[in-house]
Amino acid sequence: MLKNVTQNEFIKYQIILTKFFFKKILKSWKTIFCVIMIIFPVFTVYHKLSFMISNPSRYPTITQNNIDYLFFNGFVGFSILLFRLMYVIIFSDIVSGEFSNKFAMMLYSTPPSRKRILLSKVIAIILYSTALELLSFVIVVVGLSISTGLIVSLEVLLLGFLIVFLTFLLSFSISFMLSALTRNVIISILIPILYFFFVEQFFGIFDLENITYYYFVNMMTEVISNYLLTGTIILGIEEVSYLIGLISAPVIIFLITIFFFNKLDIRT
Amino acid sequence: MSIITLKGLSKKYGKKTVVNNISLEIKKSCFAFLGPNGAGKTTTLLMILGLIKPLKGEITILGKNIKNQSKLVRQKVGFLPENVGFYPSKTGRELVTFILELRTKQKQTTEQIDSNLKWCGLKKEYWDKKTKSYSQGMRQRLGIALAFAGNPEVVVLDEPFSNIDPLGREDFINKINVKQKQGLTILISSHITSDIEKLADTVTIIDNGVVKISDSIYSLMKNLKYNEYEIFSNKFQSNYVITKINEIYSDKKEWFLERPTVLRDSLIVKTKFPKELKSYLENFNNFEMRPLTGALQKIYRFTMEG
Repeated sequence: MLKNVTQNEFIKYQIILTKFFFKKILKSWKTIFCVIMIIFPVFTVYHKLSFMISNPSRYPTITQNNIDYLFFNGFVGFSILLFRLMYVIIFSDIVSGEFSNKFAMMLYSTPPSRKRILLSKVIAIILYSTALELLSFVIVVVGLSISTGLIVSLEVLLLGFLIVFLTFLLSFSISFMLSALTRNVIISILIPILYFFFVEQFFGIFDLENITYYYFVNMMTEVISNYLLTGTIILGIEEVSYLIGLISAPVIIFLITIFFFNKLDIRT
Repeated sequence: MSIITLKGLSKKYGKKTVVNNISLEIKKSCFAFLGPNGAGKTTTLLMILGLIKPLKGEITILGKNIKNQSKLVRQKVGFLPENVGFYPSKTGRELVTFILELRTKQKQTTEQIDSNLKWCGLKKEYWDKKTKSYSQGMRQRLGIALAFAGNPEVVVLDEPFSNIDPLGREDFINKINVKQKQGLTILISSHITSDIEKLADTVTIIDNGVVKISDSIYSLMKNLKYNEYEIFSNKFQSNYVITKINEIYSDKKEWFLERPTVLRDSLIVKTKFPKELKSYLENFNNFEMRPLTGALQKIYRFTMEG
């Protein structure tokens, strides 16, 4: 006799699936690739720092403000650019991978629903990427602190972390949607790259850049940079709406993906 | 009682109807789908599993409607897809653990995991190796282990023996027969009639999405006037089998068309009462009775060619 599936059982499924997918990414080549990639923004910061140290005429003393600005514009700015490309590449097969290695049918015939399986993948990847982001932040903060004796301000650190995280979330949500709905790795890599590097530029030609995601990111970056320079945060209706857009866009993409994937005929 | 019921099941891909109004009652048994490529076998199995939605019709498994209660059904159903593949970076052990945990919702002991790996006949030195190093046959063995992992009540096997060598195939047929005797319902789709006749109790032949014929293998044999069966034992010596069958022959002469003949390790009997003889043989442990090799191929050809 079949019993009803309880909420407790759903949580058990969620834990089993999330653990499995997390370990799967952690043990794959992607981790080595990501660790190599996060060295680049770290290297950029130290390069800029060594420039500051070697130019005492221009930077007689390295102040807290210098460190915060270097951290935000040097490290966070470069991370935003690099990480979104990196995440598009490494997460392009997050759903389509199972279809190319032919495990999909077996996976989706197991008790958890498709919705739960997809949700577990999202959670596993958010945990994985947050850990990577934390690692890169720790390397930079500790490195700067050892080299200059100054620690990056907590608010700058948190705002930087948030903006890199939100950028990652968008890149991942687009890759995830394309990977799930097209089940094609090539399309899942190409379309986001085309969007980030060409379509957004194309919008700019027609003065429509303020509807691109990158514009949203730039606006938020400007708010934070302004805070670093003047010490005041200007948050008008426009800025708040961009922040809401930054957070809600990936969430909406995730929900749309899960909704349509649930209805998809996975054999075709 | 029916374990699976299909009522007026239909499915279209584009304009092509791949399954056309199939209705079947599947009882606790080994139920086989036979048919040429593109006949609609896999589509039917995938609809039964709730992996694809039918255009029309209703599916009930273990008393639950697959449309509304697919999650409940999937807890009790194992599946081996055709040409199964795996995450290349995962080991056989990791995959067995994963599927076992999903089916049982419990942490598995090493013994439980090992017994599944041992059952499928995968060599021990490969248990902890990544599946990318597995041969096609090893993948198929692991796939069968995953389908049976966690004691499901129904197991759906789509072309299960396609990449397995003849000895491995025989081994799996015996193992599946044992599982079936333990009370499992097995749905199997295959092109290989010689495997099906060693496993199936009921055979359904599908062509162009339509059921051409569906009946117990004994009724099919009887209707098409095939009456030769093979009796063998995996446990006893052939001498014992011969003595025992001769005893049955003396007792139930009316069941036999002629005296059983010896063929290597088994006996060939001609009977018009296969069902009765088979159930009588069940009183003697470890006796198997199957249609004589090649009979199902003839039935299949006759059905397809008309």
